[in-house]
Amino acid sequence: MTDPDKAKRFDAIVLPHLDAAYNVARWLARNDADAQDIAQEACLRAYKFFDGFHGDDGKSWLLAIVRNTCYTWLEKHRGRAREESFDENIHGDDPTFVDTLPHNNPEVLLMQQASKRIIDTALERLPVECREIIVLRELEDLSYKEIADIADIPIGTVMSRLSRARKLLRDQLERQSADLQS
Amino acid sequence: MNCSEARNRIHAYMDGELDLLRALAVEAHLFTCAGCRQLHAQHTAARRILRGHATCFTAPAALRTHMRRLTATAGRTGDRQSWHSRLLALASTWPAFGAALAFAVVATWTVSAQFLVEAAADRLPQEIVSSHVRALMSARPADIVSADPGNIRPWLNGKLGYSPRVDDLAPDGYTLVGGRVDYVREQRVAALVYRRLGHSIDVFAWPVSASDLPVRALSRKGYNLVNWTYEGMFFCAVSDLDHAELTTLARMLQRDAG
Repeated sequence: MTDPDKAKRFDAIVLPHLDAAYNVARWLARNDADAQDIAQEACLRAYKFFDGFHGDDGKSWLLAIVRNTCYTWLEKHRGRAREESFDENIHGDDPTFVDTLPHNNPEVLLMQQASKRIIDTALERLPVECREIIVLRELEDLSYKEIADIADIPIGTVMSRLSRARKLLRDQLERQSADLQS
Repeated sequence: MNCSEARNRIHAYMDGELDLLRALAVEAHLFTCAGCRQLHAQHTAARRILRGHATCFTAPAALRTHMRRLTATAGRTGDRQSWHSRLLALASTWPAFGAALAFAVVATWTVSAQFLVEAAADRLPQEIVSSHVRALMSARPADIVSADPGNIRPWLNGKLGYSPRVDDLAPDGYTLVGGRVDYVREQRVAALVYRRLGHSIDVFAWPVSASDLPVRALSRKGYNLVNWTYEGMFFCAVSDLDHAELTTLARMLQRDAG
């Protein structure tokens, strides 16, 4: 495959899934700066190994690379990433947030902000393998088969992990809404 | 199917990963088991909240530009300088979200009867169309042939222990042919047979706990379906007639008797 052909194919098959790649990296890394580094590195690796890709499911293929890059990265930066702990700094107030919301009723704003914050925080607090499976299933809307391919696990494991992740997520949401009401 | 089997499969069921037979078995269990139904409703509510509110991050413009540049200058491996770009695009791409108060929903985990009917309704149309087609091909589309509601109601009552409302609507162009006992979602249900202009209409009916729902129309495999609830009964009319004609029938079967 000549380079221009390769670039054209890569543009058509892989690049449309850049948002998905970033989304997965962002949820696994839990902060913007790391997610950018991971996504960039994963895309460069994808391009490098693209000659060996002959399928048509560019999304699963790219996400598998993103995932591997993420885990390698998390392993390398274990001390810094503080896996499983919760970093309040990640959830600090974002000054651009309020200005970009589509409503300007302060009450509605507050409610929306609160619910979004609760959901995001609950998801962030899940152990990484649970977070990963929820993001792949619910946010990226992938099938069990696709998730099994990406995470390199049997479909049975996809099912049991998903069931565990959903239970943990519900517990988290309940805990947070209890916190909110107390 | 017992509760433990149902709970093992509830996620695959929610995710549309079960084959039809297993999905129907789970559905039938949910229909009869309040505990599993509640669990299913909780998971579904959590999923709806998550999908509606969790942030879906989008690639920063810088990453996109970088990859475009990479492929545009095909062959070069790209510079590996570290990134300093800010996430300009991110804030503007947060999806709009509704005014629903997620935490209130989470706190109460309400199980609405309407939700139950809707969830179960996912696979139901398919099954109803199959039953209708089976009846069309059968030599005897009705077990009791009578244009007199006074004959059909006691017959259904005797077979099922209940009977939906049965009206002779011949003056309105819907001729009552008869009734039969059919089999939907692993239970026996009432089916009324009407004819209009040579087309056969089946009206399936069984008791539900949901309150009255508005008429809803959909299509499967070239057949049209209209469903509604009336006085504690779920009704679904199916035919190759168009939705308007089925909706007319639905209205007549909900109007005050007499």
